[in-house]
Amino acid sequence: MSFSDQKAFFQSIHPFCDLSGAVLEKAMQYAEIGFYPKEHALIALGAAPSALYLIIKGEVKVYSKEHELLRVYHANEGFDAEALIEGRSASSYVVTEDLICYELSRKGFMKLFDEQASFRKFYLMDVVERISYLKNRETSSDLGSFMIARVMDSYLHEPCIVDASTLVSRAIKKSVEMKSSSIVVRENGACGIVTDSDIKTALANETLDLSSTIGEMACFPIVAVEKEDFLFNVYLLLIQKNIKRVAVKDQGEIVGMLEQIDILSYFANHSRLATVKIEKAKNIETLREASQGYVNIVKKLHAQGVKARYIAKLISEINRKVFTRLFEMLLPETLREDCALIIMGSEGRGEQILRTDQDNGLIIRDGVDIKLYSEIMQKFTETLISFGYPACDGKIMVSNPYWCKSESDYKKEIIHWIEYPDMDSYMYFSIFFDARCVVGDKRLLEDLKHTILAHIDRGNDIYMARFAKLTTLFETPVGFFSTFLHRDRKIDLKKAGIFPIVQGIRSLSLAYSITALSTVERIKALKAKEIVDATMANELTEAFEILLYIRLEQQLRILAEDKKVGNAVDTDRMSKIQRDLLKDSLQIVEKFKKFIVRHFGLDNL
Amino acid sequence: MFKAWRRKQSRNALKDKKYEILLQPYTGTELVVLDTETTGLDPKKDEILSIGAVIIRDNKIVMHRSFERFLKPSTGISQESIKIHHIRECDLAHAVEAEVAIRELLDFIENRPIAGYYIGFDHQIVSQYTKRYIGIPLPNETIELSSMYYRRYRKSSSYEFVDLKFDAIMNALHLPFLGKHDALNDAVMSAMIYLKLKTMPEYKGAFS
Repeated sequence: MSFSDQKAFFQSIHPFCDLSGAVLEKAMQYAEIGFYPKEHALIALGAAPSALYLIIKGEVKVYSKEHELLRVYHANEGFDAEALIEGRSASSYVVTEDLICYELSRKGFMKLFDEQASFRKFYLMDVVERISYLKNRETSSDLGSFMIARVMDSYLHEPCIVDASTLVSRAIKKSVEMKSSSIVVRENGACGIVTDSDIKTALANETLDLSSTIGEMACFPIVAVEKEDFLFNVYLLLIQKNIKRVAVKDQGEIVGMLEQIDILSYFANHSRLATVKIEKAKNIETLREASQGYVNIVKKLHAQGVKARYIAKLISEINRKVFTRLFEMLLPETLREDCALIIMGSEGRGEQILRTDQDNGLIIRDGVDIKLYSEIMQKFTETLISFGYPACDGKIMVSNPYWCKSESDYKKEIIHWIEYPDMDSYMYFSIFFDARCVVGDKRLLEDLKHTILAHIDRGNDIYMARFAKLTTLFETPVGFFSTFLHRDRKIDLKKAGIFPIVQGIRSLSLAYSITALSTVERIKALKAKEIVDATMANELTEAFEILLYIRLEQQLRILAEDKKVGNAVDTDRMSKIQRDLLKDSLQIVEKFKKFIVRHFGLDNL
Repeated sequence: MFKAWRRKQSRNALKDKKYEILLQPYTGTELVVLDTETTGLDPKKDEILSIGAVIIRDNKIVMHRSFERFLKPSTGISQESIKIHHIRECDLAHAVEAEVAIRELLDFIENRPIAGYYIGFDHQIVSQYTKRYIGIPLPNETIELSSMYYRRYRKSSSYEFVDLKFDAIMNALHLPFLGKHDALNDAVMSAMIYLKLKTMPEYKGAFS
C-alpha cells in the first residue's frame, strides 16, 4: 500500500493521529506488516513482545494467567503498549481469526514513547481509561513519571507474619504491636490473611475464639503483587477484587503490605504533603497556605483518572484536617471536650469535591456556658471564609447562634422539625442527618442522632413519607422527547440526578436506621439489608459516580474560565460518550425514583 | 545441467557485469512480491507506468523497504490505461527515466524469487526493459499466486469454476483491501495473498 495509505491507516488510530507527519513517517520506518494464521500464539505469558501490533484485519483474544478471557481486539486497535514498556506481558495473546497487522518494532515504539509527549501520555492514560470511562481528559504534564511508578516506589508497611499454628490472641497482639492492619498467616509455604475487619466481624458474630489458632481464621490465598508491578495496576486490582490491601512479594517472599490508602496518597502526592503541612501548621497564616492549592490536587487526581468518589474522600479529609487544626488553634484545650464541631450535608457525607458553602455547626454540652464559645465561633467562620471556604447562603455556620447551641436545644429543635415540618425544616433535618463530628466529643452528636431515629421509629409514617417524597421534588429529564431538549441545553445535575439519589438513599437510611454517612456506603448497607437488590445497588453507585464525575469535569472547566462554579452542566460541551453515560445515569435515577414511590407508598399521599 | 547452461548463456549475454548477482542461485529465505501498472496488455508493445514491490521475510511484509517508482512514458498515455489505472500524465510528476527505475528495481530484488498475481506478464514486460539495458531477461525464479491459490482451492465438483480474479481471491481469503489499486498497494495485497496461502494446505483430492 502506498505511503500515504499507510500513513492514513496509522492516523486513524490513537495516538498516532496526534503525531506530526514527519514524526509519523520516521516511526513507519520501524513498521512491518505481519500475517499470523488462526490459533497462532502471538505473545506468550511473561514474554517480552517484540512489537506494538496494530490490527488491519483479524481478531486477537487476550487471556489471563488463569486462562480467563480478558479482552478481544479487532481491526484498528493496537496492543500491548504496557507490556512493551514493561518488557513483559502479563497475559497471553492468541490469534482467533487470521491476523494481518502492522508491527511497530519495540525500538520504534520506545523511540516515539521517549520523544513524543502526547504519545507517551496516551499510553499511560490507556491504563487509566479502564476505570474512568471517559476519554480525552486533560492531563498534567508530570503525569508520565507518575503513571509508571511501581509498587516499590510507594510506602510499604512492614508485614506482620505469623505461623498458622499461632494462637489468635498472640497473633492479634503482635499485629497491634506492629501497628499493622492485617496479619499474614503462613501455612506449609502458602500464605493467607486475617484483616482487622475480619477480626471485627468475628467479634460481632461472637465467633472470635482467642484460644484457637490463627490459621483457622485466615483467608487463603493472600492476594499478592510483585515489587516491580505498576502501582496503577495494583490499584485496579484492589478495585476489581474489592479488597483494601495486597501483599508485596519479592522473589517469592512477602516483603511488605500495600494499602489502598497508600496508593491513593501516592496518587495525591501533594494532598499528603498538604495534610502533613496542615497538621504541622503553627499559626493561622501557615494553615491558610497549607489549605490552599487544593484545586490543583483535584485537577491532578482527576487527570489521573481517580474516581470522583475517592477524590471527594481525600478532599473531605483535607477539609476536616483544616477544620480540626483551626479549631485547636482557636479554642482553649479546656473547652474542646465539652463540644462537638459537626459538618453537615455533602461535607458530612464526604461527597464534596470543590469547595462549596461551608455547612457546619457546634453542639455544646448541657450545663456549659454557650457564651464561652460564641465569640470564638464567630472567628472560626470568618477565618474559614478568608481561607476560601465560601460562606453559606442559608447561614448554616457556627457563627449563627441557631447552629451553635446546647445539646438539649438541638434536641428540642429536632423534635420541632419532625413535628412541624416545613421546607426549611426538611432541609435542616436532611443535612443534620448527614452530620459528621470533626473534632470534639463524638457522643454529643451520636446522642442527637439517636433522638432522630427514636422519633422516626415511633412510627412517624407521614413524616417519613413526606421526607421520602422530596426525592421526586425535581424532574429528571429522561425519555424520548425530554432528553436534552432543555432550553440552553443545560441540565442541573444536582436537581436532575444527584439530589434524587442522595435524598432517596437518605430516606431509606432513615427508615432502616442506617448510620453510614456517604451515599455509596449507605447503598452498600441497604444492599446488605436486602432493601435494595444488588443490581439496583450497583446501578445506583455507578450512576452516582458518573454524575459526580461529569459535574466535577464541568466544574473544573468553569473554574479554569474563572466563572462561578455551579451545578448546571452544558450538554453541548460534553463528548458523545459522556452524553450517553449521562443519559443512562438519568434513566437509572428515574427508575430509582419510581422505586422510592412504590417503597414508601407515595402515590397515596 | 540445463539451468547451468542457461545461466552461462546469460552470463555471456550480460552487458553490465554489475548485475552478475542476479544470476547467482538464491540461498536466502526472502521473496519479492511485484506488481506493475502498464499502458496495455501486450508486453511487446506496451510500457510500464509504475512498479511496486515489497520484500517478504518469514511471515512479514517489510514495509519500510518497499519499492515504488513511476516511469516516464516514451509517448502519451492511452485513454484506455487512464481508465484502468487512474494515472494521468500530471500524476507522473515524480516519474523517473525508465532506465533509472529498472536499474533501481534490479538493485532491490537482487536474485530473490519474485511472486505476483499473473507474474508471467510482469516478468515479460520487465524483461523487455532488462534486455534493452543489461542484455538479458529477468532471470529470477517466479511464483504464480493464482496457481498457488488454485492448488489450495477445494472444489465441490470437477465442473466448478474457480474464480481467479484478483478481487475474488482477496474476498475468498478474507483479506482486507488497502486503498486504491496502484502498483504498491497491489504488491502489498499480493504479498498478503502469498502469506495466507503459505499457511494453507494443498488439496490433492478428486476434484483438484
